[in-house]
Amino acid sequence: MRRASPLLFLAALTVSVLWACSVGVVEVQQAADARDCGLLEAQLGRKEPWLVEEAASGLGMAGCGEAAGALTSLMSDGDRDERVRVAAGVALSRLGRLEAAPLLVEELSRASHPEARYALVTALGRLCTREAVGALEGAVADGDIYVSRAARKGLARCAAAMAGGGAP
Amino acid sequence: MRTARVSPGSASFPTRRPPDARIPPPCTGADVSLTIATRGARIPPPRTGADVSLTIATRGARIPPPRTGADVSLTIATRGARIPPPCAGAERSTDRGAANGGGRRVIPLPGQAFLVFLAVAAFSCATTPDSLMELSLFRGTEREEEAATRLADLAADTSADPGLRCWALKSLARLDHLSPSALSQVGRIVQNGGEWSVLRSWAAYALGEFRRKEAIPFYAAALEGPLAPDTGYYVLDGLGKVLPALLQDTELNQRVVEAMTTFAAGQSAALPEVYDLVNEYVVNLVVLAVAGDKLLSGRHTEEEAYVSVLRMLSHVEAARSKYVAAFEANRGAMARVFDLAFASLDPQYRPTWLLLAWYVGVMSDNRELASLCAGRLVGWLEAPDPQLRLLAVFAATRMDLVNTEAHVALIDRILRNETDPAILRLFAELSREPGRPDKLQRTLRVKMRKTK
Repeated sequence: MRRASPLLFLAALTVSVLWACSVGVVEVQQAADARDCGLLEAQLGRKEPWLVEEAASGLGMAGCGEAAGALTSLMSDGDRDERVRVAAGVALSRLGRLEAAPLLVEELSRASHPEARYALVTALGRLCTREAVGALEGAVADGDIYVSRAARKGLARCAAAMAGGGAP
Repeated sequence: MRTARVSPGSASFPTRRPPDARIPPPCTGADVSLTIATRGARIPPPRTGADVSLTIATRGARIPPPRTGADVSLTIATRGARIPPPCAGAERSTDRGAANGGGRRVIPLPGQAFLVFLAVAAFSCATTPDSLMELSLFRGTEREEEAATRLADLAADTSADPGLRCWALKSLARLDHLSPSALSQVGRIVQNGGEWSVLRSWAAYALGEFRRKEAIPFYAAALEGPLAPDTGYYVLDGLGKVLPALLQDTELNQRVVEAMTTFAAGQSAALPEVYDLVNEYVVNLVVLAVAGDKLLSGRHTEEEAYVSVLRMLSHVEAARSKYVAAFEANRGAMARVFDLAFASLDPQYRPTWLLLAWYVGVMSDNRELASLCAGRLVGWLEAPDPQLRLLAVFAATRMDLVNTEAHVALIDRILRNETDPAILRLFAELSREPGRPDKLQRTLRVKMRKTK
């Protein structure tokens, strides 16, 4: 039996390496719940779009401000999946990054899927910069009722923020 | 017994979490649980509810026993690992190792290697949330339909892990194409009142993502049957996504309006905001007129007629600026609505009369709307019921700028003969602004003396 241990250890090691390399979407969600910013940020370089989306979303929800740079790079990367870019943009808006507004507006101008437009309009409604308000005004006429409603709500929110002395 | 979290969570578009999100709640359940512990590690017990639970521990690791509920539980430990005996409940449980340094139950080396190989093979081939999400990367109509069919098959498989069924629906929602049979499978989950509500929510969400007209009957059926409030939200949300297709089919539109009414009637809590949003679009004059026609042509109670009139008139009143802006286009449908409202009046049922008189009064300050019902008001101005007479007078006075038949009748025949002091007093007080004639004076065109 003594001879079995090294082999077993090797097998276990192999499995653990495999396991560590395959942090899945469930683990990313758990990291988001645990606000594990390091683990989440490490997933932004993964190639699976759903994982990166989940990680980006988790970074925004967990308030991981240190990931803003990585999220901005992700959002600016035109080779990335649209959902990934949108998730990064939404996360930046959750982090209150006003400098993300032009990127969000640009993304909105080319977003074809209503879900993407909804997410972007909601994100712009959080930022309330001059560019954001302009884009929201345009989105009020969107054919999708949810996008249009989100734009109206965003404008109302921005108006309230301005009345209260907030941005822009 | 499913605690390993395989929630579809927030991916897709991540803003869609409450309160501003429309992503359904997480699902639970996993089919594979793998735990590896090395020297000194103290790890939590294997996740419960996993279909396969594998724990590998080396010297010094301390592992609590697997909890009950796993279909297969396998624990392998080497010398020095401390493993209490397994709890009852696992359908099959195999614990092997040199626990507590004793090595009482030892399987031979080839056997151990084979077991590890099996576990690794099983792990790598197993259906996991990620393997399901991978299917969402398929592109091209044919490949996407193939992926959608596989995902819909899993979602519809009631013997499969509920968490994985949720993930299948989430992955499906990310595709752009699905076959009619896959759509039907997802639709049946939405309308199945006996299905887990979280799964139904995900099915409703996924179905809406394709924005296909074929989804509408499933949504309508779901609204007509038993429906948890949270799932109702996603069903209504899905209807909002297929709105453009819905509004082009009067029959379907009609069915959805009726289903939404049924849903609303069955809710004890406040209706979600999305209900009003969708309602604003799906309820229109044509649908209301068809519903009213259907009701009045069959057997109905006074209460049903009352509700029908209330729905028609409250809708017209709420959306009147929209209808008046395109009056010529809407004239026929609006006239039909008023015709039906007046036709539904039962001489013995006073509440409907008062309701109608009230709404006519409220809307009578609009020239176009007043023109549709002014003529019918004349008879009411002489009604013996003082309340009805008062409401009719109220309506007629609001037509003072319109100079309709009712207004003329009010001045020429009614007001000069009105003896009820309550009506006259209330009438005079309807509108009183400093320095201006009151409603009575304005109606009678009394000239005001200019005061110096």
